[in-house]
Amino acid sequence: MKVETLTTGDGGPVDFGSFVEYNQETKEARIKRVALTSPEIFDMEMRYIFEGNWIYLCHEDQVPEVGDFFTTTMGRQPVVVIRNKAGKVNGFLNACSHKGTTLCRTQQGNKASGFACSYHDWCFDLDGNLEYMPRMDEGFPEDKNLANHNLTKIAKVESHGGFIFGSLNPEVSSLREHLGDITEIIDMLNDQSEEGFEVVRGTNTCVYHGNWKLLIENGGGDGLHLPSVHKTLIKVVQMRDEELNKGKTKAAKMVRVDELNDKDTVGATYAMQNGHTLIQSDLPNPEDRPAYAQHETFVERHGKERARWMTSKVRQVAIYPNLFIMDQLASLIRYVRPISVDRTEVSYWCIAPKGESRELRVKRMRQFMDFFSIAGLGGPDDNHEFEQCQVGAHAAAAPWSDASFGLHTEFTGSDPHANEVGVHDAKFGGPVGWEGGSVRQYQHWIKMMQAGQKREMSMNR
Amino acid sequence: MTDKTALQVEVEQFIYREAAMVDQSRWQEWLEMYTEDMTYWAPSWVNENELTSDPETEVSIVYMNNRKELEHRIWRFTSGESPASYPLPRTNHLVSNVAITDASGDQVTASSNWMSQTYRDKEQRLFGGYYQHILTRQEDGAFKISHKKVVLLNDVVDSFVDVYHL
Repeated sequence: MKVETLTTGDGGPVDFGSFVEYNQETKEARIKRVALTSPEIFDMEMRYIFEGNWIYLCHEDQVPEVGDFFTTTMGRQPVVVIRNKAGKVNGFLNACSHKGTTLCRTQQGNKASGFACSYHDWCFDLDGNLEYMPRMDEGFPEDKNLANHNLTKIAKVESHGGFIFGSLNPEVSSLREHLGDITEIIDMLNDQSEEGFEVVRGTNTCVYHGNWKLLIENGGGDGLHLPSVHKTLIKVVQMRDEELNKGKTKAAKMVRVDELNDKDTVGATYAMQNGHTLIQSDLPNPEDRPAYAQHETFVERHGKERARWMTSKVRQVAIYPNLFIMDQLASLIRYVRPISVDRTEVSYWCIAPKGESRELRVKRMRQFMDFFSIAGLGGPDDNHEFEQCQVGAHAAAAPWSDASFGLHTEFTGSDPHANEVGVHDAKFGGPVGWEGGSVRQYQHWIKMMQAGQKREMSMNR
Repeated sequence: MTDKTALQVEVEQFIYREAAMVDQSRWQEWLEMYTEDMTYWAPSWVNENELTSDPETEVSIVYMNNRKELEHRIWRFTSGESPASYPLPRTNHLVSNVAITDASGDQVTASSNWMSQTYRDKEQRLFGGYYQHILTRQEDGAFKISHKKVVLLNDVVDSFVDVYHL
């Protein structure tokens, strides 16, 4: 399929509604693959989704002190997140108001005394106000109104449970509304520690040669790929277990992914509001995960059901469009940063309860690196499949991807298991493997792309 | 040849041989160059200039503390069933600047610089960094690797890495 066929031919609107076909009678759904390959669409996604709505920025623990900053991008725009003198987290475009030079040039750091641009020495306080420039009286004799030259703020910056989000577009709902009952899942993580969670030192980052939606779809609800893509991981889990029992290795026990989706385990995938998805599933061997050490305490504090979710279930949320909070084979943040239509940067940060014992931390780190390192036993295989999907998506004579698996099992309304822990906005769901999560994710994408296109066209009129 | 020169040559030849075993896909022989209780550690970067310092409590790229784990890893990437490693890339490791930093008892510690050129899927990739080897002399007089630390200069990699890239 040529890119031209996306538009009416006269520069008119893209018919995003045609990108997903869901036949309610036959329970079949398909998604247009050109969404993965069109640079035009990628540009629109950057404007409408990543630069036009809430996206994840970083964790509070990455900017713990006054002046601590973290640099990233929102869509294609460089930004810096920084904690001001009052302890509040601010965000700015990482571009001096003078010539657009970047102000913060490392991933993290501290600017407690303010931003000083190294190009012409314009200086800004931690709220982005211009405080000083050399020869100010000579250069601006009539204009002492420095406020005209302040840094440009990220319109909205809010956080929930340590996770900081921002929107360049001021016309968005509150973060609380955006997240909906996903907050319950975040709280179930944070409730594992009275002191909160920290981001463990050290990053693992890679760039796969594929579109960002391949990852958000994979982690957002693809419960089918485990036994195929990860078959060597499953075998290593079994080999490791056997060697451990014989005392031949000191490695930590891994989650028995080989037994993860046995028929009698309880699990489900849910499509939440705003494109978010949640996967929950019983862990085959919860006692081998660090959180389980506190199971009894959690039962007392939070009740039996919530404690079971906290220690004995896979909980994986994909917060649309760029964040996974995962507490499953390991506990981590997986952060998605689209670079171009066929390049996506993925960072893995292990998160852990502050003050955790060394013994539990050692176990946690091994479980994290076993799968999620850039040299792990799991992540590389996923990345390779995304890259091959990207190649295959150019086979334009076969323009559709299938997303029909298990659609006949779809339930709507709400699910009693999710309701147990206060998750009520899981409006659609199915057993693990149900591909409705992908379909709902793309339907949300369509909604955002249509709204963005409409907004832009009305502005241009 | 002085004792010192002889040791230098022996250590260099050993490290070159290790690289050759990887490049020639002689995996069993490579594995046997390690002691059973070996550790293999590739730390992660914390920031632009600092690496993680504790493989047990901080993030690493790879950390194995037993030869069995390396054996499992070799099985995995040679099985043909790990999509990331099928087909395996052709690799070429260059090792240089070998310096003995400590020699006492039956152990020798050596630092070196490395670069690997890998080729697969019509794409060439380059990696580089430095090694630290701790070699322990065995009863038969030969060295084995009891500890290997691999520093990879990148903190962001294309797609993924595995031990055969490092």
